[in-house]
Order: sequence, then structure tokens, then C-alpha cells
Amino acid sequence: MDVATGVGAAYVSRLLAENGWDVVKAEPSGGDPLRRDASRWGGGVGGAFIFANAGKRGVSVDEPTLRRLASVADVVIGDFSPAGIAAMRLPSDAYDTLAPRQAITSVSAFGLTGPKAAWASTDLIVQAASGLMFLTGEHDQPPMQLPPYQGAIMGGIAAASATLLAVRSSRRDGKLRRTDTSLVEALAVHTAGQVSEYVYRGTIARREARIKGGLRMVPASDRFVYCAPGAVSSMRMDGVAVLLDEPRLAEERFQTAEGRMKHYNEFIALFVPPFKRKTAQEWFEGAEALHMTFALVQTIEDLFQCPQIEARELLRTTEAPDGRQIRMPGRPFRVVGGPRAATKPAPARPGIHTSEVLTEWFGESH
Amino acid sequence: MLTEPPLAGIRVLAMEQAVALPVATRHLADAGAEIIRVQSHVRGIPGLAEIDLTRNKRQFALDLSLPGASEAFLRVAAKCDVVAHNYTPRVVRQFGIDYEGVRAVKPDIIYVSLTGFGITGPWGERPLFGPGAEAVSGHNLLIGDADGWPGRPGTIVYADTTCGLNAAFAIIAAIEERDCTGRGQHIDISLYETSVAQLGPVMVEAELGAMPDRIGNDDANFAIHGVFSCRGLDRHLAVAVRHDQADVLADTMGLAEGTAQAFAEAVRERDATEVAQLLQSRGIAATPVADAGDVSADLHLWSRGYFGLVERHVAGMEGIYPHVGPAWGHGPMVEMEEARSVGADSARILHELGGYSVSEIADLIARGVTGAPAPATVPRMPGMERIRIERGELSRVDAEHDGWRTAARATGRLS
Repeated sequence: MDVATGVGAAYVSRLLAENGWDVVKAEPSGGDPLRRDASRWGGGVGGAFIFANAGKRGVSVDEPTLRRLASVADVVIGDFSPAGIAAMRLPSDAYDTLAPRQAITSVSAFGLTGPKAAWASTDLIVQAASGLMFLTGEHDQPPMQLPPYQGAIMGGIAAASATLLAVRSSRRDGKLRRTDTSLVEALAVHTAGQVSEYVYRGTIARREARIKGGLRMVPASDRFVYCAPGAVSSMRMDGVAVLLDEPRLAEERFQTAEGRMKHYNEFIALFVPPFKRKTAQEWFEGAEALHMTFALVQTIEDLFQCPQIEARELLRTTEAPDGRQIRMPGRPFRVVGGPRAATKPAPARPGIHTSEVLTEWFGESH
Repeated sequence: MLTEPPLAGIRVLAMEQAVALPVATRHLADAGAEIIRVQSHVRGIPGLAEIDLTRNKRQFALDLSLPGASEAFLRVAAKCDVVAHNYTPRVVRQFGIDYEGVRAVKPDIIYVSLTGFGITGPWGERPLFGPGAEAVSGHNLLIGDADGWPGRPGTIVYADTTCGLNAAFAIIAAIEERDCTGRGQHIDISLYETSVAQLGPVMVEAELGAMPDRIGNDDANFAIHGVFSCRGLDRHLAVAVRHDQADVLADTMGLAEGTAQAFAEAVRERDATEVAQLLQSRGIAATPVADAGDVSADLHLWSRGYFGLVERHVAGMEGIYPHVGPAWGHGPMVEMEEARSVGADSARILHELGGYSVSEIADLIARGVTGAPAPATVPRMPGMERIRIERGELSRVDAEHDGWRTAARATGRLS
């Protein structure tokens, strides 16, 4: 049973639904507030609810029935922070008193304990508190936000693992397990290397260094191409000199990071303009022929047209609550020869499966 | 530990490199699995990141290009629950340690191919590194100012770590399934697809008519949304003020009106942490933009048991250091163990799991199939920090960087 608001907790049970679990989402009569969240880009319609709640059935019930549904569920998943409890109008003691058979999973911004447990949070706050935002952006700019819901989705994946581990432990000893995942902590795992650098050496990394100027995404004639997705500081330029037909880039002074920093303006003047001569795709293929790893810099629209995504059937067609057919990523990994994961849409309205679920779960007619 | 960790008794043979798979197996180790890391002993010295990625793992050195190495791999694999690699499909085929090869010696094996683009499809044999995965999966064109060049998710391991966390889930789910059905499976997971999945909500929004693009730190859902420069070197405060909170903001900060400009001026010379606490006391979402030093000493994280402590014995690094625990929180379910040197456990693994005799192992060592080079130390190049500051790679170097001890003591983790 999912009593989740937000993307993080909801993504846990979406992943479980794709693994074959029977997931029921219980919402208050007004619905999960996530249904009403708009896109970062405006326009009134958000995508988070539809994405994070695919594959679930929706119920809307009173508190006694909620507790009874919980008691026949294996797992209950939600955001049991003060904000999450209020949003879903859950009993204030839900985390401690709902009694599923094996595990209760909470996914919230700062977690349920600790001095910041009651802090107000948003996607931006999670990114900023995790240490990841400090590193995102250019060296001469303030920190930049990542795409929406990165902390939430990461927290959802982490908590999905924690949920299966809790179920595993519970199966051994019959005891109910509670797990309390924090989105900030899940996202902070990305900066584990920087934390080690700091505690061992005191170094604080910067955002994109000036040295990488030009050596990342360069504008080709039509769009950007990523021309050095490897280790920039140790990269030599002789291959690029051949690719760009610019022999001066093969001069010794441009072969090391220090040399390029010292002759930065000359380097940029030689390196950047030639990319305008061809399309990003042409540079990408030319680099591949020279055994250099470039990368295409794709837009969201490109993903819908991508031959690799199409060949691997990553996208699923689902139905938005207004009835429109839309495409979105399905399970993020494949099991070779395994069954295709569920493609049921998110419940179009709160409670649309209430009577069907009560009949099945309680084994009686409603 | 008081109770048996959930993955106790699970053994994982991981032919791993770089970051993605090592992150996955480190999470499994934190849940009690035994991880055997396979890597060549003919290689360089591990850096700090590698120390973090190889803690709590046994080290098995193999040079798979030599005769006898594939057989040794398979004899050990036959005693494992999970075999995982993050090489290209071509490499594992070449060594006979692809899914078919391993399944022949262990029919219910859970086999993981972690690759750039997945093992099938028109891009299936293409190499891909994490930063390239971020670009090709659409992240970069959503980061940065509208009039600037595209950005990147901070660190160079975003796509790797993302994929690693997905892989940990896929593996745990497969173990559960095997325990129920008796069947193994072949998991095919990629940097590309797990990064694309991270943009699932954005793709839905694009389908519904939004135009995802670079918009700096804006968000149409909020009256004020972004970061504000505060007192100190590169210190910022992140704030998200709802439309119905502008008056509360003005009141809290003593502003004539609750606008972004007035707020920016009011906080420029103030301490980010103090302002965040003040705003939070009035229900406004705010936090300092934490750097690695802040994270390492965060009392909140310490009080939740997020970090584990590693006691290190390597020459020049003796002492206790905190390491980040698993992404799901609560810290590791086993004691954190210091990273072991490449190949440190080869002989024992070959004997106990591979069934090799002492003389056979000596022969493998003599032929260079396996080995244990001298224990690695982490090189500390004199003046390197200064060079890295000049390059613009480092923001600063703190002479005192053990603020974590205060938090560790306050939460009873350190005496």
C-alpha cells in the first residue's frame, strides 16, 4: 500500500509495481497534492504524478479502512514527515502504528529524525543540502539546480532497495521493519568522493573549472556536441587537431592542462570556432572513426526519436488523467528474456479502484 | 551488529572498474553481502575515490588475458550468487565469462551486464563514460542559464552513481526472485537508460506541452526560487518561497516587500546558516548550499547515522575517517572495513572457492595470472593542491578539515 505524496516515496512503489507487486495507492478524497503540481517550466501541467504512480490502483478510504488495508499489505510506503502526513491527511502516528506484515518505508526530504526533520523542503532545497548543487554550474556562476526531481527519484530507488532488504529480514524473523530514507542523503551519495577528498585532505572542489572551457560542450553548426567526456586534465589534443584539421592544436603547449591554462585565449580561439563547420552528428561520427569518445548532447525531444531507446523499447505508452496517450520511460533496466513490466497508467482519479481493491484484499463484496 | 544483515550469505563476484558497478556492489556490501572485486593487478595506484569504492570488498587479482585466468574466474563464479561486470559485451564474450559461460557452471546465477547503452540495439557496442551519459540522456541541456552554454550535474560521476543505485536495486530484486523461484536472471542495465529514467517526469511534461529548457534556477511554481550570495567565499543560500509566502518573507526579514531583489540585498552580508534557520522557523524552505565540508560535519546527518567510520592502517594515513554510508540511510548494516589492496585476497579465494591447491596457486602467481602487488598507498603529490587551485579545479583547501569530529562526538559516534 502506497500512501505517498511527492515523487520519492511514490517511485518506490512504482519500481515494485514494475517488479510484479500489486500496488494500491491510497489518497485522501482531494487527491495527492502532487497531482496539482505544475511543471518547473510553467504551463500548468506537471508530469511527476503520472510518472511516479504508473502501475498502481487507486483507493480512497476512511481511517479505519486505511488501517485495515495496511494490516493485510506486506509493505506500506509513504512520506511520513510532518509535511507528508499533512499532505495526505494521514493519522499523525501513521509511521508508528500502521501495521503491515513486513515493512514500513518512509521517504522524505530530510528524514524523520535529526534536527532538520521538520524543515520545509522542495526539490531545490534537497539538491542544495546534498552537496551536489554546490558543484553544479560554472566556476564564475552561482550554483545551479539540476533537472527536476533528481533527489526524489534517487531517494526512491534507494528506498526501493531498502524496502526489499527489510522484507528479506522480516521474512527471517517475522518482525516488522521500519526504514526512513532521506532524499538529501540519497543525493549526497553522489558527492561521497568529494566528502572523502575533504576529510582526508581538506580540498573543496569547484564548479566547472575554467580549464574545461571549450573542452566540454562546444557549439557545432546545428547544436552542441560533447567533445571531451573523459578526464579533461590529462587529455591530449593531437587527435582533436586531426579531427578539426587544425595542426596548431598539436603544438606541445596545448597538450597539458597547465599549458592550455597558460595559453587559454589562444587555445579557445583555435579550438572552438572550427566546430561551426559541421553538424554535431558529423563531429560525433568523425571522432568515433578516430577512436575518440565524443557524445551527442541530446534534447528531451531527441530522446523520443532516439534509435537506441526505440530498439530497446525503453519508453512505454501510458494514459494521462485527461485521456491523452503519452510516452515515458519504463523500468530503467531489462531482464533478458524476462516478462515486460506492467504498463498500467497512474490512477486517473483518487479512489477509482476502491471497491475492486476492497473486494480483493478483504475477500468480501463491497 | 545485533542482527544478521539482510544479504548475509550472498556472495557477489564483480569484475568492476570505474564507478557505476563499484557503487552498486558497495551498497550490497553495506547490506551484508560478500563482495569479491576482480581486477587486474597490472595497474596503477588507487586514488581516494577508489578507496571509497573498494571498502568492505575482498580483492581478487586476475589478468584475464592469460591462459587459465578465465577458468579461475569461472571456478570462483560457480560458488557465487551474483556475477557482475561493467565491461563491454565484447570483452566478456572474448574471455568466455559472458552470461552463457557463467550459467554453464552455475545455472541459477544472477548475472549483471552494466554497460554504456545496454547490450543490444544500434548503439550497443559503443563506449560511454558517465559525463557523456549525462549529455546524451538530456541532463546537460536542462542545466544552466538560458543564454549560457549547457551545464553538467556536479561531480563527474552523476550518471555512474545513478546507474549504480539502480543496479543495486535490480540485483536485490533478482536475489529475492531467485529465492522464491529458484531461477537466476541476466540483468542488462546501462548508464544511458538509467540517466534517461531520471528525466521521466520531464519527458511526461514535454508530452503534455511544456518546453523543457535551461532556465537557471527558476521554477514557475514559486514566487522566489534560487540561490543568493551570502557572507564568505562562495557561500550561498537556497530559498524556495511559495506565492503565498511573500509577505511572511518580508515580515521575517524586515523588508518593505518580499521580492527577490530586496531579499538578495538583505542577505548579502549575512551568514547563510543563520538566515536558513530564521526562514525555516517561519516555514519557508531554505538551506545553505552545502559544500563537501558542510556535508562531512552536518550534525543532522551524523545524528541519523548516515556516516560510517573506517579505521585505516595504511602507512601515512593511519587514523579514523568517516565515509558515506548507503543511499537509503541508517549507515551500513555491517562494520565499515578499510579498502584492501589489489589482489590481497587472491590466494585465499582461489583456494577456498576455486578449489585450487597451494602448488596450483603458486603456478598461477608464477605465470602472472594472479598476484598481489605491494600494498598501495595514496600518493600525496606536494604542491598538487596549489596547482589544482590555479587550474580552477578547487575552490579552497582548508588546513583544518576535521569538523566532522565535533559532530561525531556530539552524536556519540566518537569518544
